[in-house]
Amino acid sequence: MRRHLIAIAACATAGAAHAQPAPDPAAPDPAAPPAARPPVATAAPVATAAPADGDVGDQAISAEIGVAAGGRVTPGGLRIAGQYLYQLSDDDWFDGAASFTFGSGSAGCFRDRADAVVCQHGVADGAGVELEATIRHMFAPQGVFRPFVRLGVGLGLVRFGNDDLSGYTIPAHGGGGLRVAIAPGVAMVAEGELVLGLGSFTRGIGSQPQLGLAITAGTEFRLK
Amino acid sequence: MRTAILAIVGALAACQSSDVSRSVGARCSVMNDCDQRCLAPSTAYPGGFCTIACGARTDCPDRTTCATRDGGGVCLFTCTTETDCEFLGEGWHCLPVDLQGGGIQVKACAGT
Repeated sequence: MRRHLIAIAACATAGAAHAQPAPDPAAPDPAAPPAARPPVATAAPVATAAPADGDVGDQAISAEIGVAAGGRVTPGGLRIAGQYLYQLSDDDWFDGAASFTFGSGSAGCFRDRADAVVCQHGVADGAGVELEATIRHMFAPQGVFRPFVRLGVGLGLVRFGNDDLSGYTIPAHGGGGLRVAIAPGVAMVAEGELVLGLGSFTRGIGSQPQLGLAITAGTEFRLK
Repeated sequence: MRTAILAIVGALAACQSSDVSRSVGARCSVMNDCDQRCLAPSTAYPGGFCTIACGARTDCPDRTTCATRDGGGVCLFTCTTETDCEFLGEGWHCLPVDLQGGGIQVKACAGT
């Protein structure tokens, strides 16, 4: 986990740096003195292997739609997400996502007898927007199918309009899915994830746990 | 990391829960505070009382009964002793009320 977080941070600070394949431990150290390097025949152009038709590629984007189940102060409803994938190693990709949740506006908060505000929203209430930074680990392809798991964190804003309740959330995301290559550079992706975290809310509610589930599916396009 | 997980699990375990709801029992001062109806704060309903209209006992949620009050039937918490009404706060008592449509009296929590 700590390695993954470091990888995310490294990716964020790298900016426009291009993704490279994982370094070969057997390759010579470029910082070593010239005498220590093996002789190089010529400065011939280096051939870059093009990704196979079913590969994710160095970079990809995807759009997904699905449903999210929330409850209490976790929004749920229609889920729309856009993702950006950036290859970190042979099997790992940085997976940055922006997701939007659109639920009903039903009121679910009330004042209990001690005059404290309690919120008990349904599974498909509220609205939210979230930015996620996760690591997607892809398993070995099985034909056109390639299963994966995803783990990371997010930063979100939630709103329950009819209760005039807002808050920000820091949820952890964990889940998995299946990628199915359907054409050169194009794949269908279906995934499910569990969301667990904390949020800080207005109306004197303070910190509250976040617990939700989302199932989405969409299309992924290879960029490079 | 372990501390964070424990904190989240602890927070989940302490999820907000309540004896009352927006349907019946929550404090209120206006209708928007409740799912259906707010019995405004008064000596009859100290702090205000969210409730739903009813025509018979079966229309009310668990632990409540349909009492004839304020020109119609409203769901109130049932009780047998004063302590059963303490969770509603100061000013609430276990009183005999007319059962809506029943022609008998039952005990329910009310202010007066």
